[in-house]
Amino acid sequence: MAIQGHLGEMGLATLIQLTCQEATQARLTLRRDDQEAVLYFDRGNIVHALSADQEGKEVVYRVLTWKDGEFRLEMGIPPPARTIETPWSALLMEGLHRQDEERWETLDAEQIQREEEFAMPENMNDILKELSGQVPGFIAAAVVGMDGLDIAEYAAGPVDVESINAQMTLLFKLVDGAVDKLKAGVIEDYLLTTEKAYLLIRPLSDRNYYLGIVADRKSGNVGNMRLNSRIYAERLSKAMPK
Amino acid sequence: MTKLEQILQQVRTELGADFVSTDVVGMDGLSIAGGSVVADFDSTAASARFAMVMKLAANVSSKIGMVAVEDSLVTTDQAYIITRFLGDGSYFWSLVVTRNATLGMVRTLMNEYADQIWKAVPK
Repeated sequence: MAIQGHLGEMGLATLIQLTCQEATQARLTLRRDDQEAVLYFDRGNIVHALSADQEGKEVVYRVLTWKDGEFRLEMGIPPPARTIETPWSALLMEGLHRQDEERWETLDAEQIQREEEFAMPENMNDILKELSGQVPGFIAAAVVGMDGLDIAEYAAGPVDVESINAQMTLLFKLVDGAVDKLKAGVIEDYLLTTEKAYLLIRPLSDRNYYLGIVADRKSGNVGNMRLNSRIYAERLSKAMPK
Repeated sequence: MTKLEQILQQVRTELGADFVSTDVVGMDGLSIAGGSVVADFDSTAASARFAMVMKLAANVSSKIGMVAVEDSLVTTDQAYIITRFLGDGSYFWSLVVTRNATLGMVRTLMNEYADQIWKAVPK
């Protein structure tokens, strides 16, 4: 069975994520202009990747920058070789990290200053909007300070984000205090499962703000939420106004 | 050994080396059964503190219209701390496992045992 489409309609990161969740053998062929790359999946990971001039992880990092092009996903095709041992989630994170770094390298000093001073809040809202497309059952997301006030938010419908932020901050502070007193380590994320929704909190790198995501219980997916919260928290941390 | 302790022992056996601590706790913060394999893990304090967390979680969930809380999962760099309400919500079950544990498996295990534990709670 083969699935075909355009990368503009379904992002490559999402495509990789869904294929890995299937945990089956598959071949994903990507074409953009005159370039072609092929990724092989086996038991929930990318195990091999090749292009005309390269093979291994570097091919994955390169194709993750492709925003357009065509893909063809064929199930049940075994990998001809194994050149990648890194888990797929780590590959995606590293790929996104490199994209951010490359983007910054192309800016001159004046542009960087301008981005830092004026563009960051808008960027954070854009990032949350992008996140909404990656999380099944997405209801809302926000970047919230430990005072319970958000600096960026995005909701898929009429939701009282302000009230959720205030209440979840209160809860997170209590959880953080409990974990601290018990010397149980540093919190990476906190997930509350209710009858109606999943509510996930992940502190950003400065730990003064966190990313909060709410997704519908029926259509949401805990693994997907945790993964995307990791990926997007890293991006949001970088986009925080300095 | 009570029926409740026997069930918790089974859970502990299933988790093997990943097991750290488990307790069945009333909403007054007092544990009625459980224990830890880590000498310096203060399960009495953990029970009391997480009773407060579960109470607030229930309040928060109700206030923001998300209905009843089922469970709460804290991931730290050292451990997973999972707490879930039992039966009518007058008790909760907490389970602490190392980060080496397979989270999906632990959650499935808790789903499997939650009813048995609730039935074994003296009423």
